[in-house]
Amino acid sequence: MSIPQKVFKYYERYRSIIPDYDEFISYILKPLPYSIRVNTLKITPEKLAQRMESKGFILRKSKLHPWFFEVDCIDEERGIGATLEHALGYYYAQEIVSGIPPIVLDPKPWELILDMAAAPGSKTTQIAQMMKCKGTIVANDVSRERVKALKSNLDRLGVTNTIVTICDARRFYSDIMFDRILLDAPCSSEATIRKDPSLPLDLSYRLPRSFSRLQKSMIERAYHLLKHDGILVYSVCTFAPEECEEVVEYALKIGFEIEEVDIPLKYVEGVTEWVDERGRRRSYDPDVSKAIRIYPHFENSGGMFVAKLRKV
Amino acid sequence: MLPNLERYRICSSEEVRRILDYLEERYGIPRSVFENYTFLVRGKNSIWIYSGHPSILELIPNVSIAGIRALHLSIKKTLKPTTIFLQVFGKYATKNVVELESEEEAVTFMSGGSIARYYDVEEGFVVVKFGSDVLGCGLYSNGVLRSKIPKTLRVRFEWFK
Ligand SMILES: C[S@@+](CC[C@H](N)C(=O)[O-])C[C@H]1O[C@@H](n2cnc3c(N)ncnc32)[C@H](O)[C@@H]1O
Repeated sequence: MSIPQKVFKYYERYRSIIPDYDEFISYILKPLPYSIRVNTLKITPEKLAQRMESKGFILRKSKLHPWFFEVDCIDEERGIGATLEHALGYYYAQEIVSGIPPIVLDPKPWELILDMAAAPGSKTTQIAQMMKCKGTIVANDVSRERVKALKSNLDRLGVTNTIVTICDARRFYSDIMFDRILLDAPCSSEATIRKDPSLPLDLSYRLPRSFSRLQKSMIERAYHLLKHDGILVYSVCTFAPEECEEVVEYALKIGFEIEEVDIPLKYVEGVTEWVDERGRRRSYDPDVSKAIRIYPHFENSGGMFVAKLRKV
Repeated sequence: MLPNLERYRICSSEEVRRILDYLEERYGIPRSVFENYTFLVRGKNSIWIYSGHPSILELIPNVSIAGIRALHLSIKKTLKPTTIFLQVFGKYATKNVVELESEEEAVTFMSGGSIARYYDVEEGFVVVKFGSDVLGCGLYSNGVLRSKIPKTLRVRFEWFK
């Protein structure tokens, strides 16, 4: 099977849940536009945009948030990271949709935040900006290799309020409870195919099913680490309902409530019913519709699933 | 030593006083800048700066990193500020600041190169700026400014062709 054929076949199981499916498919093999988040700990969006434009980059404001821009590079091969401004930590190359979970998390200065699967720190550093480096972020990841990248991003962006830990989030214990937790969970990454066209796609769909189990135990641990009334944002870059709505339904069972999410990008509600590739009908708690799904063809972006949960 | 804090130790008030004296005397950075920061010692010779709640350090098991590395104690027992520290706090410096004069010099410095020129600063570690950008730490001696930019933060000459 040729690569595009395999890709088309893989996503076919989502035909009934993805609106304008043919349009979706036409986007899935297109390269992703470059985008950045300005590091407001060091520079203002206006100043950075002006500097980049004076060098020949073209910046377009993202609808998501004033810190985000889509960028046309001067030189495709050199990309977005080969500038003095990048070395000085004035911006972070980040997918627009990756900026959504921290915005939904809405961390405040002086709070205590846990980022359970944080490396390489796109969202940790965004959260630090939102908190103006006041209060504390505990950024955890299981992978020592990826934590190196996290550390170098914290260094480059000048983030001073972060504690890094390296452990399996399912066994993360602490003597203190958190105000808010981000679980940007490890997932099958199906929705990152535009960024990574070599993404392995297994037509047995074993990956979504096994990640689903991992995600559920991570969300359960998050429940115990969260203060009463605390917020958990659960996000994954996949379209597989096993890793999205099924995990959120599990969260509702163990004591979370789900809240509406609203962001200034086009999205659709979480899926409450679908038929999988083996023809089995699946249905979830109707409340999971309060979660959001962003598809690549909506805003020419990557894909993302986000749910906002409250511990009650 | 705190039970959870194996790698770090919170600086004593005497140590903090010495750090603040140094930053004020050598670079003119006012002490008030650091009011909401905690200084930590890691290993034998590095000092870290952290702006989170100090008490959290004791409540999280196995802290691997806390804040960013701020200063390094050299073998000769002189303190050296890190580039990442200066990129955040160097803007408050009023003394021992070298202002580069051209983009070419800035690129040379940021790619790890040296600049031979007279600067009206004391010998030793200096804050290097270009316009409003704090580039990082340099070592000035015998009329030569050496770049102390760590490899991971360097730029490459080809980028600017
Ligand atoms: C989607 S990525 C996180 C991206 C990151 N939040 C960001 O925005 O830069 C998922 C991360 O989960 C980590 N991970 C996988 N299994 C884990 C586990 N059991 N506990 C903690 N982290 C885990 C991976 O190493 C990976 O870095």
